[in-house]
Amino acid sequence: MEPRRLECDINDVLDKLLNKGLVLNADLIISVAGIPLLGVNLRAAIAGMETMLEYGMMEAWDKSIREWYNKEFAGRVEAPLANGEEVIIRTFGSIWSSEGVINAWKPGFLYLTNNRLFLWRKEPPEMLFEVSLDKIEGLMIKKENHFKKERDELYLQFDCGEVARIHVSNVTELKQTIKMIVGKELENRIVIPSERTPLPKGEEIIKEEKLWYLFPAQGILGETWRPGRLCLTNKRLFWVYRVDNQKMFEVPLDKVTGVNVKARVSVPGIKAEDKVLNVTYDGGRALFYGKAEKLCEMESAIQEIFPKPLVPSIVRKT
Amino acid sequence: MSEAELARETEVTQGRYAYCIISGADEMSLGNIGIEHAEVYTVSHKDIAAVVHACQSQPYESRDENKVKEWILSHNNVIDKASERFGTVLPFSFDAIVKGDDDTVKDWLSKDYEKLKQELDKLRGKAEYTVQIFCDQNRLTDKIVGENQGLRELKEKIEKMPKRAAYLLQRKFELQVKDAYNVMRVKLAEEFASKIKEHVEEVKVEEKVSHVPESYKDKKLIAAFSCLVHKEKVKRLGEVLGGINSQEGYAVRFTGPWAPFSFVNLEEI
Repeated sequence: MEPRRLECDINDVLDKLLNKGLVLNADLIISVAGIPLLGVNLRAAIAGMETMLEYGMMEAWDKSIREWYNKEFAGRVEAPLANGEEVIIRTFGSIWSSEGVINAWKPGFLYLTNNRLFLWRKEPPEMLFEVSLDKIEGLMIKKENHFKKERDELYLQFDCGEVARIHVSNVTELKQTIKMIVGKELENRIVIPSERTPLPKGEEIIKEEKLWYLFPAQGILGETWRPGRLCLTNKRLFWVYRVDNQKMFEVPLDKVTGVNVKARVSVPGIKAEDKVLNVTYDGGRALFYGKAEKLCEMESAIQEIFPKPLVPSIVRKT
Repeated sequence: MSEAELARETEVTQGRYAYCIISGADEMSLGNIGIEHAEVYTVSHKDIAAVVHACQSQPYESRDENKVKEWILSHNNVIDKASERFGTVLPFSFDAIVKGDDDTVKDWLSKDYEKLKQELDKLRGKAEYTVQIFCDQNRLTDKIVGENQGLRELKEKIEKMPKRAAYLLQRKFELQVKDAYNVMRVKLAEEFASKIKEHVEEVKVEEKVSHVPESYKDKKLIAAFSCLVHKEKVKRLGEVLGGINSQEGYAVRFTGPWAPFSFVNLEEI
């Protein structure tokens, strides 16, 4: 066969001229912030900013730097797997990390196993994120802007109420596979924490617990337990529905007339011996359900605000 | 502006964009064939010369991808023209700019004369060729599964299961095939390299290939090499590659001649 030089295939030319060929000695060249010869912009224009960041700048770097990188990272540590744990998906991935003022994507290898989802960085070895699959309660794909381009990102909601934000190249596949393994219904609307409305000035959260709220009957729907957060501030007590982040119960503290935790008969949807948090106020009562200790903590937090213990009055059904 | 200021201004704005190093003592113009139609000319020291154009002392940069591609094609075109005229050249990477004027270039040529001369002599009469070997994905998978008892058993098990239940096993199967594929690829690459080796001066395994042409997209790239080949041996190499190409399921992409981009020493100049 004869060798060919197809003028139309520019990629071969790009590869050779950008990654190969002679480079000048350092004191003769024009360098940009220590990066020899070509500015970051130039390579970015060719490789695409997206790709550069996804896979680390190293991929498109000078040969000498790549060699250094390979040598340096020869002793990479593989992700720790438990006995019998099986990897189902292994892909490049990154997680959004915001701690105080630092907001950044942390890249690594995302592993989905038969019981865990984790992001592993090989060098220096570190578990960047890890969650047991049974802690996942919700999954949502959302379009986000990333360097002026839209891309799909996966939001995960955990049973502790926290939300994580992950990016991999095939978000849909990851979501479907997690769903498949978890094998239970997952929430597909997640409230992103930054979207929570801030409190007015002077108001502070004293206690916040993930509790179910017995939502009053509506139309043909009877009373239903709904998941959300009960927040106690120095001014009021309110509950926010997790699905749409809407306030569905709210009462100013001076209207609260009583609070206690005990098992109640005739509450639908829970066992007779299960305890509930009962809050009475001018005009009605509200019931919250969750782990017994959470209920008690919330009760004492409310009690502490008032000089003398509040005992719930009996509310007549109207 | 005082004369001193003017001089300084000229000093900082002066640069020489370097295309390649050639064998030749004459200083001449090659015409307006450079980047953005710049006039390309040679600056010589003894019997070697640098092919350059005069530019500002700052790198070519643009966010416009097409513009950058155009520059790179122009650069390569100059290298091709120079190779036709002066024989094998030492090609520069894109955007190599000498800070200074023709005299700076001369100084540098004289300082590195021995090394450059040696490289030019070593590469004379030779050119770079790119060889990429592709294989049909299904055929390769069948071969991998066929040779591996564990995978064969797993596949049979999956085929007997209902689709939904087989999902996780299927993922496991795919991952194992992928790992086996990587092992196989290294083995095949070594086999092909040893076949090619005797017909080339030097061969380099390309670990990363950024682009695969559209016509090969349905196949898997299993090995890529840059080969330094003597003019007289190109035909023989073509025959060997033709042999691989005609094997069922394989396809070979053979491009060249290129300037010896992969064989000029990056570190020492």
